[in-house]
Amino acid sequence: MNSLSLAARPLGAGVTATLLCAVVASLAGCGGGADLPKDVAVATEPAAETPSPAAPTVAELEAGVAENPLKDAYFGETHVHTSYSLDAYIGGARITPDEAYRFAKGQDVTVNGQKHNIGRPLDFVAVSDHAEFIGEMYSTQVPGAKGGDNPMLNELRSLKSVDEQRAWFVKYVVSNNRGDNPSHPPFYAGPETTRSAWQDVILKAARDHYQPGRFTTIAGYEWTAAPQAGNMHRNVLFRDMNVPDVPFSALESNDEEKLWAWMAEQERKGSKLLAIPHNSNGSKGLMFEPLDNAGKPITAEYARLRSHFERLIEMMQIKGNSEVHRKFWPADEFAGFENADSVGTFSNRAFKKEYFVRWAVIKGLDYQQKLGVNPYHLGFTGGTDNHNGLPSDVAENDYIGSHGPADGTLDARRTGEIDGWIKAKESSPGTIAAVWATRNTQAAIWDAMAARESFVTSGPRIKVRFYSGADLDASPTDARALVEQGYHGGVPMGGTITGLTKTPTFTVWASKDPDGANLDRIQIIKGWVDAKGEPQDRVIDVAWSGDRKPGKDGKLPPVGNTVDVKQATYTNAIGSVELMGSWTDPTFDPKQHALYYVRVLEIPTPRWTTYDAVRNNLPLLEDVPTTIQERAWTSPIWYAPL
Amino acid sequence: MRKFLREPLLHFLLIGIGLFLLYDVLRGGDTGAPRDIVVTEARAEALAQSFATTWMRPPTAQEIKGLIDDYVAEEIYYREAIAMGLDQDDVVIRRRLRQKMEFISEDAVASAEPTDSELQAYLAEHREKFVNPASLTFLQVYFSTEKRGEQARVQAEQLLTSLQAGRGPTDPAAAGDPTLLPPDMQSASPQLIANTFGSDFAAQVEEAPVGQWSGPLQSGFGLHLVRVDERVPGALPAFDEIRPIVLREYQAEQRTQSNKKFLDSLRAKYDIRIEGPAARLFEPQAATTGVQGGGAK
Repeated sequence: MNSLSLAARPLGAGVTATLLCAVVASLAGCGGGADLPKDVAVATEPAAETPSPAAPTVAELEAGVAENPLKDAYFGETHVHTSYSLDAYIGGARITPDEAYRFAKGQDVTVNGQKHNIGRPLDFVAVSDHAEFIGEMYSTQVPGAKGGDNPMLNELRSLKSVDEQRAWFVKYVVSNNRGDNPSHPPFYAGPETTRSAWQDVILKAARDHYQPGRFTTIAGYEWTAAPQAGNMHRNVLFRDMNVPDVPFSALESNDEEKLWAWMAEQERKGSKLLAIPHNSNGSKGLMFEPLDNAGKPITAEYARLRSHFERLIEMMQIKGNSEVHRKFWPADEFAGFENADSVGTFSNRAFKKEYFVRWAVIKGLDYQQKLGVNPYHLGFTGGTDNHNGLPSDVAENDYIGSHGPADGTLDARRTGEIDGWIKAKESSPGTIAAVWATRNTQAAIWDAMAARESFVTSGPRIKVRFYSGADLDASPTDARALVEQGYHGGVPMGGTITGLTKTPTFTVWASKDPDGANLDRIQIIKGWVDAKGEPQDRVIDVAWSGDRKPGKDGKLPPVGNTVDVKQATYTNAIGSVELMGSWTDPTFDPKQHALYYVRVLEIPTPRWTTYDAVRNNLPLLEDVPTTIQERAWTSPIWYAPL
Repeated sequence: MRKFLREPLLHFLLIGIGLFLLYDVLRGGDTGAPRDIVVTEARAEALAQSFATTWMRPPTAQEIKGLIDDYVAEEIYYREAIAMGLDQDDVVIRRRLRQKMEFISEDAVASAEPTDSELQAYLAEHREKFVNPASLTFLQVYFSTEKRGEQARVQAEQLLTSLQAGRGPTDPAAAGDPTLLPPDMQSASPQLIANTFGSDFAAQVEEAPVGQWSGPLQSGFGLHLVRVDERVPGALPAFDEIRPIVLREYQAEQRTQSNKKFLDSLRAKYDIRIEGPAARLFEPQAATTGVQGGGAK
């Protein structure tokens, strides 16, 4: 990683590097006993990565990847932090972007002194380091980088205890970043370090690891605005390697409208990019405010920009589930999933209904009617926010924490907290992003995200298809026919159906994680707004395992629970391996805006805290659930009257 | 001046000089008597140059004398501090020096350009890292254990017998259960097969005979009869096609190896004793985690 950035510099660095090498060579070669060289060797040009003539170009490799017009499901990560994120580095992360991609491809890495493996390689990854301080991290980690000898960085490199780390972070970073005018810390060595980090480390790793058809890397970063500690974070993802010289960080502006203006400028320059917000649950309401940053009610122009750049939202991650909260959706019997209540008590972030994704996407329908544009035209995606540099490290049965020392030990996970955010035991390993794409290339994966043909699971590799159209077969039996018909006579998840004169049919199928637990049921959630513009919703069971019958209250009996919490095991004796079904909305009103999304539930399995306790022969924690029903969510399908 | 101070070249020189001095002191300073401080002409010039960059004018004779005095004072303090072991308990100095050693170790690898024959040898040794994945083309007929219970296996075996005897139905899939799983896969990699049917199935179909029906194979979904029509083993692309990738992997591995070697060679100079209960972790038969004492990343 370092060699190439040095090699790229025409002068100076090469000479000194050679001098140092000579010094080292003598040290290493003879165990420190030999004389040091007397004179400096003439610099030789270090190895540059010039592709040999026969090596195919990326475009040639992409051209050789077959397309499936009916699309395949690809699983991956768009939210992971490496040693180039300052907070991750402070927490001891030493996994670089290069190593993060290696982990995603199935190679072992060492975290907290332990070897760790993802088990199942991913199809795509975007490393999303906090853009604000990548320059500082370059100075800290790259030999000879500008600013590397700053005493504050020496302090940083030497932080040992969690308390020291916390104090340093608050002193130099938090105080700078949560105010109204966030700024670089005093040890910033200038914009060239930011450029080097972005181009020579982050983008280089993305270029190096891209294998069209097999593994897609996505150039990206996190814009980390947190005014008054309210979360406004967005991950910015690029369609290809046509990217700007430096990212636009929250230090340039922590106003999301400025971010969109910058994105628009990049579009004019030929880049294609989108932004994915996350953790609306911890946004203190800022994520879905009715006012813009000037304090005026949001306008059609605001809505147009927002819906153009923000195609997806992260449904859930380590810091909890943003879909719904049991307190505000008492009628939804599955709303009590990874609610992460402590996110709502730390930093005065009291939860409100308006912070949650289900509320927001439905509220978008109200704006659609009033402004003519929906600012929250959001499909659903997943991510972890892992700060150990481990993309999609989502397995409950092999969870080693996600935020360095804050949850890196058994004791910290059971009793600690992840700074200022959440009690560690209430955190989750995060979710996995999935798309239906024609092939596994940068452009095809990004296009699927832009089209919102995207779904998310709380970890398992559940697959789910979802279509709507006026003339779809209402009793599907053949999965392939369902898909073909869905594309030809309807729209897939993320799409919009318009101007129907008759009630649309929704078709759906879900397939369990091939190596995981069976499925309990498929649900459709319908959303609309009432005459006052208030979001309303209804949850409908569409397909389920076994021969259960809904009770008098309309509720389907629970699927059961095979979990042995003493052993942290479950069996697939209940549930179904696949579910398929359809639904026709009995209250469909062709004049009313509406949206519909799918939620697929697994049978109960042990929560990570249960695996952790059993593995270490400790009592189960009493104030977190011992079992969970993992799930998948599809992007909505919208209905718009003409 | 600020710009000059930020110049990586300067940092490298300082690191180099610092290391040289440190090394010199540790070895007892055999490049000069321990109590000699020699300010060479070149050193004086460098001090003057640095002054000039800051103040935009050359120093006066008086100022040069002051600069040299200060340099000598710093050198004395530095040597005495090291001699008194003041660096020992200072975590900032210790970590910084460790990182400098690690940087140096990495740079040694970074600038070594391997020859093609070295790369080819590496490629030959690590074939598995570079082969295109094997691919498999097969048909499958699914028997749902959820629907058929114990009969699933019996019925699957009956169909298998018919198929093997050439008496099977023309559309064998129709004899199985409808499923969301694909009835066939074309030139699929082991990873794709595992992602679709699960890892157990992927391992079994890997072993299935080519050109005939076999099974039933167990997956997380149920039972499957399979007919593998083609198995293409993983092939190694031509060296020229993947040279940049081989170079990258080679250098990554060299970095790890060399960092380890560097530390090992330094370690060999020391006699390391671990006392107390932790000592048993370091007994030869006790292996692995948590024992690395050094800077290998």
